[in-house]
This record gives sequence, structure tokens and C-alpha cells, in this order.
Amino acid sequence: MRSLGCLFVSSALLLGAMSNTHAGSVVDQMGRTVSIPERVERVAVIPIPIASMVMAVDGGATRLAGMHAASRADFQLGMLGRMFPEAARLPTQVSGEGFVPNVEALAATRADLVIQWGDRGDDIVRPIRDLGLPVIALRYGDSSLAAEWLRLVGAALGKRERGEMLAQWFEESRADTSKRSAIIPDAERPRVVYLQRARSGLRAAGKGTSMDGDIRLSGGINVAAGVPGFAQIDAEQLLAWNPQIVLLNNFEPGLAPADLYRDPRLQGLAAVRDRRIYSYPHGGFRWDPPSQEAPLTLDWLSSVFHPQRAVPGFRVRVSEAYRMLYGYTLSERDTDDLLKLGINGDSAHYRTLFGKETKP
Amino acid sequence: MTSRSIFRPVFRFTPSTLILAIALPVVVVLAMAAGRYAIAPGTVLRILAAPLLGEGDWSPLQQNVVQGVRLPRVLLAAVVGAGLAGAGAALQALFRNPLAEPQLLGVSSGAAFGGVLALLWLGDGWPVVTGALLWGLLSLLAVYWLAGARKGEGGGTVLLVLAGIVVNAVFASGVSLIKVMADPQNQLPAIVFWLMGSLAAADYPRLWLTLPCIGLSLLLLYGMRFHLMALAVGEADARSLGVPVRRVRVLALLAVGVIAASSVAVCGVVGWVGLVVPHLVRMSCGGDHRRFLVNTVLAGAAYLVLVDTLARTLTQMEIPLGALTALFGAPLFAFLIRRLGRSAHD
Repeated sequence: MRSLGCLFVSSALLLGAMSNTHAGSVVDQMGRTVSIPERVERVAVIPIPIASMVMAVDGGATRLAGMHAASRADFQLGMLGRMFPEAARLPTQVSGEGFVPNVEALAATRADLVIQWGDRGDDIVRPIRDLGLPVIALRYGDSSLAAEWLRLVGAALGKRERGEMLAQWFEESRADTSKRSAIIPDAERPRVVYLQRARSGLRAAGKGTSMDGDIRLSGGINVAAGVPGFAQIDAEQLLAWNPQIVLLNNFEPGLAPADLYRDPRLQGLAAVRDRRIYSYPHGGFRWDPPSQEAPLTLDWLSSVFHPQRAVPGFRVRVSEAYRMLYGYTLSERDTDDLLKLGINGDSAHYRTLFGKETKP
Repeated sequence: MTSRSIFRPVFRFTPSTLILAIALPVVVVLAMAAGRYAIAPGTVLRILAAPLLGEGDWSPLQQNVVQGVRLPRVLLAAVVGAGLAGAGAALQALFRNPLAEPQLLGVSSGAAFGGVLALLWLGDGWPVVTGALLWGLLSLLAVYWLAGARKGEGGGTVLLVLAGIVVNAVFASGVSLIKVMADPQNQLPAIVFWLMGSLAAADYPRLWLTLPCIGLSLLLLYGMRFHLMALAVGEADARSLGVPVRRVRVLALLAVGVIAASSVAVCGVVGWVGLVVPHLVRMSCGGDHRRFLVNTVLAGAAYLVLVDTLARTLTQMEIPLGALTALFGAPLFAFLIRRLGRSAHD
């Protein structure tokens, strides 16, 4: 009887290890305990960066049941469409404006589990719970939060070890970059601004945004740190701040440093004069907001801020990270495209730092 | 007689007009000296005078702040303010209704719809400006057709106002629908900001687009100022005075439409100016009817320059102009209503 029980337990363990069956629960970022179903065959994700994170953790999009329309819009612009072309056919009607879930569409995806933002009020989470689906709620803010996203996505998919492994890589590389930039004297830190909008008005990332934290961690000074959140500013305020480096967003497709170099209103700006305007790379996800690629963002930022101190071999590190994250081997052209050598290439130091000809 | 009536107002300045004509340039210069980028007012003046007096010891950055950023913005604020106030004054005469405003006719909504549509399909910049202009004029035509104003006779103003409500509602819901369709990350924030109204995007191309549109429209209204005044008294009276009522109405509406659409095109929907400024002028300058339109236009320019200076200088963040004009406009208007109400009872 006992041996039979043992056999049963061990075979269950074996089964659990082989397929995606698993039991257990996780505590999400809102502190709520969520029990994970025995079998998770389909996951619907509403937060925009999580669709690509699921593909990274799971090695593909087969278990992704639905996502935000903006997640898919991002595929075509970055690398995700090249790495997981099959994901472009997934339903995107699960959420409306302001991440409001479309519960009927969610039900129609036959998802076993849903991932949603938790810090925008319970009104966009409760309807999903009322539907009877387990919801893992995430918090948005500093890019360090994404390590926990990796763990939670891993738990949701029954791949806790992989989630943990990626989270540790995330935290260690982040720590490496911040250790390197911590020793940089204040006088050498460049004055930086991130423009979340540069075409329809100007909007800078102030205090409390992930970009503010990333800029500081990578050895820069955010000139917009005095304003809260994303703040609309005018050209004169930008000239008054006179940043040495301007970082451009991935939210306005087609936006390029050349647009600002050409803008007659910005002539005389330090970043224009020194040609230090850079558009954030766009990989498996856009590099400006937090995602599984945030450690690469920090590495890239610290190189852009401190070209003299940059650790050589950035392209190699990106390739290695992509093999680990996505099981994908980047071609030279892929790397050029994701680093945007085309539009960033004429900005100061860029080709030396990130071009093919770099000697590692 | 005719030649006198044309030339007389040009040469005879009444005190109120004189004061406003002096106040406007003063306000413009003060606004030019204010900004987030600290430049001594003297330097600002010397940079402004540089085309006449030659280069000085200022930096290229300072020169760019004054000539490239502040000057077009202040001038655009003046042009838009003048236009919106003038359009409001004309509409109030046309409708014999002190609550008439460019937004009332649905032109602003139509222009907003056109701009938002362009933001959705074509992207920022010139598509927005042209889209707003085209749809603004289209909505004006729709109002006109709905009200049956082509036929000349009829309920006239009431029908026009009702038609304006209809057109307003249609385009407002169109804007809401587009906001649902827009990409929440790429497009929606741009749409929301543009709709809120701002002069932060002011530059010379926008100024050169707006200046002739609004300038010519104001000249047209100015040319018809006596007819408009007669219409304000009453349609029958105006007719008996020989005013070509239909033509005046068509031309005035066209001028108002162009003003509203071109201002929405360059800075989004900025409300309340057309309502508040004519009333302020009426209250302060009294019954000087001959100079009413000119006074209103001058005051409107100064008013919007002042409000926009606050919008760009109060904080590091840009404050939406439309929010400020409503914030100042509504209480000011409430005060005016109370005063009007009291004087009516006296």
C-alpha cells in the first residue's frame, strides 16, 4: 500500500516535471495570493511588456491566448516579429482603453490565467476575478520591478526555475552596471533628458518614472527630475535645462535624432551641438520602459553616457542575452537594426560603441 | 458719405482704442521677457532689435530662445486671441445672443475631429493643420445646410444654433470613437494633449499659416462692422437700414469658420476667449459701438498672450492653455453675468 502510494507520488512528480502540470500559489505584486491552476494551457496578458516576456520565459507564443493591441503593434517595430512570427495572429481584443479588460473577449480566449496591471485600481482587475479566472496583478514603475515580473510569469507558466534564472540574471546585470557607474564622480555625469514625446509636443520623464531611475543608475543626471511623472514641457524649458544628452522614445514610430538636429527651435542646445541624441534600441521589447531586456538598457545607457569608460563587446553581450532569453541567434543585421545603427549611427560615439567594427 | 464712413474710423482713435493699442505691444514685450530660460529683459530687447541694430554679445542659444521659440509663440497667441475674440464678437452680433461663441457653431468640434482623424491616420504636423481646417469648414457648411440658411428666410439664428448643437454632437462623438480606436500608447496621448489646447508647438510655419487666415477674416468682419451692428439690433431693423442680411450673414459665418478652424488647427480647442473678451470690452468701454470690434480684437490678442505666458512660465511643466482659459474664463463670465443681471434689475 505504501509502495503503491510512493509510486503514485513519484509518477505524479515525474508527470509534473514533464508537462506543465503544477500546483501551488504565488503572491503577486499587489500582495494578493493567487492560486495557479493545475494545468495552464493558455495565458492572456494585458500589460503591454508581458506578451514578449511570456514568449521569453516560455520559449514561444503557443500558450499565449491573448494580449493588448499595443503589444502586437510593438512586434512589427522591434525584433519580436522576427523571432516569433507566429505570435502576430493572436487575439488582441482582450483590453480596451486604459487597460480596461474586455471580460467577454477574455472568456472567449479560454485562458486559464490572466496577468493584469494591479496599480491602476481594482476596477480593472475585479471583473476578471469575477469571471472566475485567477489574475496575477503586476506593479508598474521602476525597472527593477521587472525581475519580479519574470518570477511571476515563470510561476504562472509552471516554469519557476526558468523565471528565477532569468530574474537572477536580470538582478545581477543590473547590479553590475550600477556598481560600475557608482564610482563615477558627479562632475563627469552628463545631464540627460528622456523625451517620451518629441513630435506632438515635448514630454519629459520626471521623478518616479522608470527612465528617471535608469538614467541615475547608469551614471547620468536626469535634468527633468524636478517634475513629477511624465510632464509636458515646451521647447524653452528644454533649452533652459540644456541637456548634454537627449534620449528618444520608441512610442512615436519613425522618430529619429535627425528630427531634433534639424529642428530650428533646438539650435544651440548642448545635445544638438555635440550630436548626442540617441533613440532607444528596440529589441524583443522597446528598451525605454521596463521589460526582461532592462539590464541591456542599463548597459547601453551607461555606454552612451560614458563612452570612455564603456565596457567593450556590447554586441556580444546582446547576442548572448538573446540566446538565453529567446533562444534566438541574432544575425549582424538583426543587431544593427535593434541597436538602430541606421538612425543613431551619425550621433557622437555611436558607431564606435555599437558598430560591427568594434574590436571586443 | 461712403468714403467718409470708410476713412473716418481709421484716423479717429477713441480713448479706449488708444489705450488698448498701446497696451497690446506692452503686453507682447512683457511676455517676450518672461520665460523658463532666464534672459535679462534688456538682452531680449536687443536680440529683438538685432535685425535693425546688428549682432551683440548674446549666445546663439539666447538668440534662439528669443527669436526661434518665444517670438513665434507670443505672436501666434496674439493672432489666435485676436481671431477668437473677434469671431466671438461677430457671432454675438449675428445671433443677437451674448452667449454665442465659435464653439457654438460646431466649427471647433468639426476642426477637432479633422485634426484627430489626421493624428490617427496620417500623423502629426501638417496633416493635423490641414485636416482641422478642412473639417472645420465642412462642419460650417453642414451647419449652414441644416439650418437652411441658403434660402435666406426662416428662423435664422435659432435654427443655426440648433444645427450647431447637432453638428457639435456628431463630431464630439466622432472624436470619442477615434479615441477608442487610437493606439493607447502611440496615438492617444498625442490626441488628448492636442485636444486640450496648447501653443507649445508654435513655430513660424504655423504662424504664417494662421496669420493670413485670421487676418483676412478679421478684415472681412471689420469691413462689415456697421452691418453687423445693425444686425445685432434686429434683422428687420437691419433690413430697413438697407443691410444685405443674407450676404452679411454668409460672409460673417465664413470668416468665423475660418478663424475657428485655423486656430484649432494650430493650437487645439481653446475655449472661452470668444465669450469672455467681448463682454469684458463691452463692460469696460461702454457703449462705444463704433470701435467695439477693433477694441475686442486688440483686447483678445493681449488676453491670450497673457494667459499663454502663464501657461508656459508658471511651472516647468507646460500647463494646457485650454485649461487655463476655461479656469479664468468661467469665473470671469460668472461675475459678468451677475453684474449684467443686477444692472438689468436696476
